[in-house]
Amino acid sequence: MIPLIYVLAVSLMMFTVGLYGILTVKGGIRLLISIEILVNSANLNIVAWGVGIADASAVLFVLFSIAIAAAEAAVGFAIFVALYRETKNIGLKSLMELRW
Amino acid sequence: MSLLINYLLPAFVLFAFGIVEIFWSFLTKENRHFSYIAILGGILAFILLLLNIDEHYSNGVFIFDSAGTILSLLFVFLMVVIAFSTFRFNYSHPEIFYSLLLISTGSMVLAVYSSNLISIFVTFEASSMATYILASYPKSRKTLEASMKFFVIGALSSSIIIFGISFYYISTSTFSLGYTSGSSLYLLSLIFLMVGFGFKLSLFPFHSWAIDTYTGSRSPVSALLSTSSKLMALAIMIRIFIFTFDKGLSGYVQLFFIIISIFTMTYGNVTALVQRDVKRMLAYSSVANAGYLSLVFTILPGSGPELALAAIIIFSIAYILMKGGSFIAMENFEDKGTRIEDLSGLGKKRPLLALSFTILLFSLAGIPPTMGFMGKYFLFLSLIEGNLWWLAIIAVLNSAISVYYYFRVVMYMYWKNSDKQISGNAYIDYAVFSLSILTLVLGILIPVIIGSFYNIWGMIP
Repeated sequence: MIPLIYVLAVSLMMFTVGLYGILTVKGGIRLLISIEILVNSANLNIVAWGVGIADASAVLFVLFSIAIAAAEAAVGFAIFVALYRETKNIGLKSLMELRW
Repeated sequence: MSLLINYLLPAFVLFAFGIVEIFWSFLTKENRHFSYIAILGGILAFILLLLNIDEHYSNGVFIFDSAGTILSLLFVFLMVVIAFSTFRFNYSHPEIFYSLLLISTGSMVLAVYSSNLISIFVTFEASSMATYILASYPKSRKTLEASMKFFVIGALSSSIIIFGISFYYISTSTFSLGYTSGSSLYLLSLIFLMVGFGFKLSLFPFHSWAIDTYTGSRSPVSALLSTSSKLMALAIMIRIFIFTFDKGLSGYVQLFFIIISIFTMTYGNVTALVQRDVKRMLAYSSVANAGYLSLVFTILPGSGPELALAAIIIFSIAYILMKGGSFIAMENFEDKGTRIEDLSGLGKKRPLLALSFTILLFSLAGIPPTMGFMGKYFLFLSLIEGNLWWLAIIAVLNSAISVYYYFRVVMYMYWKNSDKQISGNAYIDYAVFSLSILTLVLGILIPVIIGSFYNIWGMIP
């Protein structure tokens, strides 16, 4: 059995990678990938601890969380596609209209 | 009457009417039919919620208490008013707008009752995802940009929330609220949850999306985003953080919230002073109001949180009426521009709208006979009772700053003239008028019925 601290270290690394991605990427699709990495790092945490203490609610939560992440990606793609049809561009830097 | 289905029924009615909207679109494409259905569903849910206003019931997933019911009543009421004010909307696919309006409100109703991190997360995400799409209705360059910014920040905040939940689970081995542990991992989870829900509440370092989204999206949608969705996050935060005090962590948590609420109030009010766009000014003032709302977390560790918990409900009632009303009023100027000059001469052109908008702005500024004054009065009173009188002074000073930019709008409406025509229709005027009348009536009534607001939150440790 892998010690919990290794799992936590991996998930913390994934969280850092995802956060770095969200803060630096310029394209919409890469942004969705970064968000997916972030969500999965937390899922890994929960599942590892849930297996350790033999608690089924961890698996329940992760199932909900995966379903919600999928729905979120679908909503995100819908918004990006609509934006692309409007502006022919989904670069985040081009969205500068709403400023004072 | 303590059957689970009785409490879930209002939310299920809203969901069911949301699905009916979709099927109704096969019969007709006229906007008013969908508006009727949304109003009907809202009224039905409102009556069902009124039936269990005094009931308390809880299981491991939900806690049904009067505070949650009052907040749900407010959400449903605001939804009915929004559906009424958009009666003359004329865009393609009206069914999507009204269906998402009903579904997001239904999820918010469930979210304020949730007492388990699983149900909190699921209902919170359901309402967030409905509002991402609502923010982009009707499709245009501006609304899509608003919706995109909302989505990016919302997705980031939801992943931070899951990470906070994972730390909560590791430190307490359960998803239920009400379990604490003294470990530093638990404190870290509280910070993550505060940041994640703070995004939705638009607290100071996490507010920048809110300005663009409230300005860019259509005004009735901004009314929903800046009131219901924010108060949902507030109720969830109260349910989480009410347990964290008196367990050795109260010092840290209180300090966080004191710093954040001071920065949020001051930043929102000072930046609102220099805005020339009324919608943007209202967005900044809603950030300032988030600062007032988050004051409740600084009082909770004090000796008597009862007054603070009653005051936050009164402030929520005031906030949803006045902020929702003023955003709905801005719908009139959506086509011709929302700059402050565009409001000139409103007092002569549309007397009813100008009068009701003035009452709402007075309420936002906190002028006595209105509901906004009562909300601020009881909130600041509970600050003084909790020995935080210096924080109360900062809050009152902030409130004094805010009078300037609200009165500038009133001045433009009554003392400036212009020949510009104003679009909009009578339905918006009546919606804003009803909200402003409620602001006045409840403001006079609240001192009489203040006693019934005590001890309405379930699960107080």
